[in-house]
Amino acid sequence: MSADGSLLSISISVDYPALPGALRDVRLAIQPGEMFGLVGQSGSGKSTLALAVLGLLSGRGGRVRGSIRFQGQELASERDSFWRKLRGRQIAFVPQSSISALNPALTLHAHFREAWRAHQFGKPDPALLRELMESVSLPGQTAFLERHPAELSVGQGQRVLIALALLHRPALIVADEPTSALDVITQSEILALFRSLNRRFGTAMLFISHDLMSVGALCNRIGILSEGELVECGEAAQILLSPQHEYSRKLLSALPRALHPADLESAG
Amino acid sequence: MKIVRTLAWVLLASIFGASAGAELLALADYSQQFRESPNRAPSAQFPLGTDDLGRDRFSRLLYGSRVSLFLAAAAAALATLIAAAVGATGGYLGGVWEKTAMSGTDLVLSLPWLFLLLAARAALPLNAPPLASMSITFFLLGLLGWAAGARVVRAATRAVKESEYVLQARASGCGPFRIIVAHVLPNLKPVLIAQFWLSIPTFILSEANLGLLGLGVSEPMPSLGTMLREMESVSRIASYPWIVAPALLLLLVVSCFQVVLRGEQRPL
Repeated sequence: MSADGSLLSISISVDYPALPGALRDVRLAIQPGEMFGLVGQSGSGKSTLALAVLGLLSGRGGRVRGSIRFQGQELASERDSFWRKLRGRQIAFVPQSSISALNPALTLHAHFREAWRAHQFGKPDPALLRELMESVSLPGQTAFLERHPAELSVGQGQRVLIALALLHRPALIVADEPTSALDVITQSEILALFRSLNRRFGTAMLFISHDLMSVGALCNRIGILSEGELVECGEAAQILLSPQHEYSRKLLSALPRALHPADLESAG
Repeated sequence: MKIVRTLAWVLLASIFGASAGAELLALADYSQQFRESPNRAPSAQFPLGTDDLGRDRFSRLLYGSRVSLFLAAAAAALATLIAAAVGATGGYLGGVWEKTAMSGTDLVLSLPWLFLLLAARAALPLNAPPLASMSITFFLLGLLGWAAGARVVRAATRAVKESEYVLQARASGCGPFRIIVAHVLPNLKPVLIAQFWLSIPTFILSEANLGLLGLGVSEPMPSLGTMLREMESVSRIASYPWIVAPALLLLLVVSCFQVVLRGEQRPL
């Protein structure tokens, strides 16, 4: 942990060759076991922030300036070989679309085997895989693990990605729009799953979404990102009930009236 | 479609079986000359007639297809393997690796391979047994025939590199080597298979061309390539239409493999 006890503490700006200032002086800290939500519309820099936290921006041509401290260690200046030891093991990633994020040529078992081999020798223990699959409400039998991604529903695929993220019991999961490709019922099931996994394993989460209500239902604290700047950051209830920044108020006012937090509170 | 695939399997098995068991099925030795019966039309004694020297064309086709099918396939496998290694490494790693790989590819493409083969064959003892000289010819063809395939593989790798599942693999902590082997190459299977099958007829024909210079499979040993040379004159085909049998056999083998392999590939 860093001196202030944060698991992750970032203070960064990101430039792309064609888009300087994609993120501008974004500062946030996530405590161990905390569910932190990051909200913003498309193009606000949410995915750039996710990739920066995973040290994956260089592959996309991005350049990070500033500081990324994880468990008290400065990472921004580290080489990719150092990041590789952390990715998957300490900081895991749940992407948006299970359809494109699972390799179509590999079975589910091969996905787990490759993610395992990235950090450990041999193959993952079948009992561990079964437990992992059951923790995300999927069957852990060999027959299911021998399936290819094309044989899964979108919701099942998303659960597999969550199980993959949990394989090495990371301290932090970065989830980039993990529910936006799902229908409403599956979406609420996945949110409930994240909540239960957070309680069970104490895994901290950076939950990125454009859906303010999903983030509000899941996270303790919320940051609002607009055009590369973190315009507001605070307790979920405070952001939802009395937003300070104009952009946050605009986001809230864009919600359907029936879902407005202030109305829900007065009704309830 | 299933019937067509079954038929293709049966035909392939029959052709490979027949060429493997040429000693049992051939009516005469491939080098035996029936001096009193040159250029005979097909008959019970000579099912595909005889050539200029009175050798049984059917027997020569059996032995010749063994040489061509097994050795050209081995050379194609070698060329595809090198193309996959060079193309995928260059395409995935990019930068200086890609420049080096592509410079190597251009160098091989620009090599006067005919003179290289000449030099390599000249280095062999003159009394090298036909099997050894033939194996070396195909080995050299494989060793020199990968460059065009490497360019195709590199282009396909660059497309796969940008995919979400490769990003997910990187986020799991997988290193470049594992990503190339376990994530990129399995997705290039259709490209690699196409390269493999395209190489076989090319190598068979290259061997036939080399034969004209006395560098291919040497007499009296037959190969599909040397037998195809009989078709050089259109007037000769009109007079002896059965000499197209090796071409038809080659067409049949390649078509059967296409049908079989297309059926085996999983829908991606």
